[in-house]
Amino acid sequence: MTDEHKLTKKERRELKKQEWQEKAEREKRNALFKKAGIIVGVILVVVISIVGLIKLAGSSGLTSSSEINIPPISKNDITKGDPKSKIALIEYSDFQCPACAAYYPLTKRLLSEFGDKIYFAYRMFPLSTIHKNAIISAQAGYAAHKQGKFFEMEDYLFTKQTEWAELSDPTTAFTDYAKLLKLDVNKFKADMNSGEAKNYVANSQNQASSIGINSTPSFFVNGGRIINPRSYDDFKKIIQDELNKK
Amino acid sequence: MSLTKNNLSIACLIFAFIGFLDATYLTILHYKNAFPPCTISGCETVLTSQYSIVFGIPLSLFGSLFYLIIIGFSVAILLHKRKIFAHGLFISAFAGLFVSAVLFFIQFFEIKSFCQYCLLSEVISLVIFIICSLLYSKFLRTK
Repeated sequence: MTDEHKLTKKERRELKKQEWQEKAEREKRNALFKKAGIIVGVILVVVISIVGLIKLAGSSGLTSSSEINIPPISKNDITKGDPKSKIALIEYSDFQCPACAAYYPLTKRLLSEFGDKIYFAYRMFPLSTIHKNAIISAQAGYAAHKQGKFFEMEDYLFTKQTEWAELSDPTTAFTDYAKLLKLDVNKFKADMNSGEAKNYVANSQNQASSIGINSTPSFFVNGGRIINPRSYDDFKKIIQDELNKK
Repeated sequence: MSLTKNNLSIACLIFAFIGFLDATYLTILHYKNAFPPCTISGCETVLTSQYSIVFGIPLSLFGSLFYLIIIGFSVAILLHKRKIFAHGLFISAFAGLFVSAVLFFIQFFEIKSFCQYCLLSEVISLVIFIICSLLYSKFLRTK
């Protein structure tokens, strides 16, 4: 009897010990879950907020741009294509902007593929605060325009952007491109530094910022701003859709 | 609300998160080649100045990483009250405050323009430093 009682006492003690252990383990597990939950929660919140910010950064450009009224293509613009075509594509661009150089092959291909179906205008928006050679390169473009070879010069400026972007005096490089284009080099140099070129670029820059353009490249199809397409196919689709509209 | 270690870490976490949103927004815009909506004139000047990029990396990206580090240490302290985390948090917060002060003076004396996103970040790093100092003193008192 006493033996049995002792045994049960021992058993009870063991049972209690086991319960404690289980409880401790459960608490330990809960604490671990709680910790893991906090860590996962913080990581999730950070990731979600990054995604949200990317969306916000993308949309803010769009909402502000929908209110932008851009002046239609005029005689003053540097253009390519047929003025009577259904599509008017306007690009605000900066020769020293890497994104503009990245978009250059796309617009080039677009213009060669659609030909006269697009009336294209290049408007200068040199971001002179971040790009030290933006203004002078725009003036070089204007000087080439005076000799009817703006788009040929654009080709050199964009494809060789990395060669001149950081030069303290890029005018020699620009003159070399003018030579390659068989331009009248003396006239080119004079035009590049003329008050006329400076005024043209400054006016273009002021006009662009006064209507609220804040990034380059900015594209407008028939007066409406488009979100910069991510690929050639996306860009082509926008133009194609616009053509099909009418 | 008493100034317990937990409450202070949570406060630090919240402010670091706000700072993280601010800096990351600027970082994303930088890589999109766009400007944020600026209400103070001169905002673009600051964000596109030569000081806005260090070693080809926009300062705002360093800001995002700084706030992530603060978030990391705050969470670590919430989970384990180890002194090493408190040291890490305090040193990071101090470094953040120092860089913020330098950037503030660059805006004031060199660029002579301000950008509200940068000012917000500078205020937040000051607040974080104050909270972290309080938290650190609690850790120093408990041996």
